[in-house]
Amino acid sequence: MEKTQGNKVCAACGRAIEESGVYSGPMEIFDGPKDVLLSDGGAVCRECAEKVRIVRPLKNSRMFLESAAHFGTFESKTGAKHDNRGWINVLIDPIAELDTEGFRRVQSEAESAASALSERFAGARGAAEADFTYRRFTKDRSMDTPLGANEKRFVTCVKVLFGEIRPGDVVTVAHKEREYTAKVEDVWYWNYLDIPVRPIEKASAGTTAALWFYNDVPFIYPGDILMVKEGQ
Amino acid sequence: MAGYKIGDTRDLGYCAACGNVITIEANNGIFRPQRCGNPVKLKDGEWLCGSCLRKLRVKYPQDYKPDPVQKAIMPFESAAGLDAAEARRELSAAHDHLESLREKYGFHQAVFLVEDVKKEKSGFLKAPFITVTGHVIYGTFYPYDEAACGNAGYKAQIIAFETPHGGLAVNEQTLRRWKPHDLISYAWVDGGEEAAFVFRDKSLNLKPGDVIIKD
Repeated sequence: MEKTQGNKVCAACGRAIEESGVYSGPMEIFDGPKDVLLSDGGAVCRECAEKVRIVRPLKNSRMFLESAAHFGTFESKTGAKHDNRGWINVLIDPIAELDTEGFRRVQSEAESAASALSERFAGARGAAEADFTYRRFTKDRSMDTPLGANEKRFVTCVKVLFGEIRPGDVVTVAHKEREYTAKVEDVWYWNYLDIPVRPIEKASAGTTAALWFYNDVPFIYPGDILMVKEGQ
Repeated sequence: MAGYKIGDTRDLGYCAACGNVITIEANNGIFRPQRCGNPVKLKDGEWLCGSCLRKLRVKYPQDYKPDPVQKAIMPFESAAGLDAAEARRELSAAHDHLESLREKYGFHQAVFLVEDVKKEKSGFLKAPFITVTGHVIYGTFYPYDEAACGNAGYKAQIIAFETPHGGLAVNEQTLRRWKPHDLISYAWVDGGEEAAFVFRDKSLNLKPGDVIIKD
């Protein structure tokens, strides 16, 4: 059984906060949703934190930090080893800056935002706004020309506005002349300032995600709304 | 690095339209591995993030112009002439503008307007290198796309992108240098961007005012 973080429980739902997987400051790489300790010593579990991402998404920033992995190490005159410093793209969780009362306020903000969007996207289980689409062609684990590629992937980076998008969902894009559909084969977390970093189970409202398609999606333009209809 | 403290950020503010954090990126080149794009500073000092700028570019295209400070030809965003309120208003109408462009050009996937054509010989009996500079009207072009060129709809393949007005001679050597895997997998130009496509074709006959269409 997972050890708990002291005797902390989620301020919203009462679930025990796990000892591991708690947000502990700016993250270089997204490694899944985390429980969050609030500024007043309270805590919220990852499920409740994800529900308010629609109004408090993870913040992308560039931060001056020490990192041996990025910049190596140096030895000082005393012989002590130090990590070099430099600028790194990081993700900051704005929920950690809230107190328990603040989190409750944000919860009600999130509920009203979600209900407003459910009216806008009536009949949809999820909706996202497209940013850009790039290709990823590989051959035998190395990049090659499109002619020789045996694995062609088209990756659309999006911001999820409402609901959630999961691998296997079919997204619909409505244009003036017709509606287009495409099957989402995989969903990755997209660090906005950087690269899509890892596959995730689902991308929920407020998340920046990369949707992987196995077929070309030339009908997705920047700003297009991708909808996952109920039952699809 | 002197002067910076651990935990300092490079945040310059928030996008006036969507609230994204604004963090300046080092370069604005075509070859951007999965980056979000550069922000632009608006007339009133507010910022517009790369994502919002990308949506606006179909109406407010990017241009390469000589920069007197940097003494080089640099990309300029015409959206920088807007203030925050105008940018928000234009963004709400950007999708309708894109749809009207698509209708105007017959709902093709992507359209490029030719503004300049430069031919360079590549050797005896070899097809010349043709560098075509212009603007993407809408849609996305990638290297190795096959596109219908000019009124006759002659099909030719884009073999590479060049920096618009880059001034480099296109030849076998430079092309070899431009052929890392990034060129294939992570290079693209979106609607409103100024771009230079390199073709290598004996029969391609393009002139300013022609369109290149991808379907």
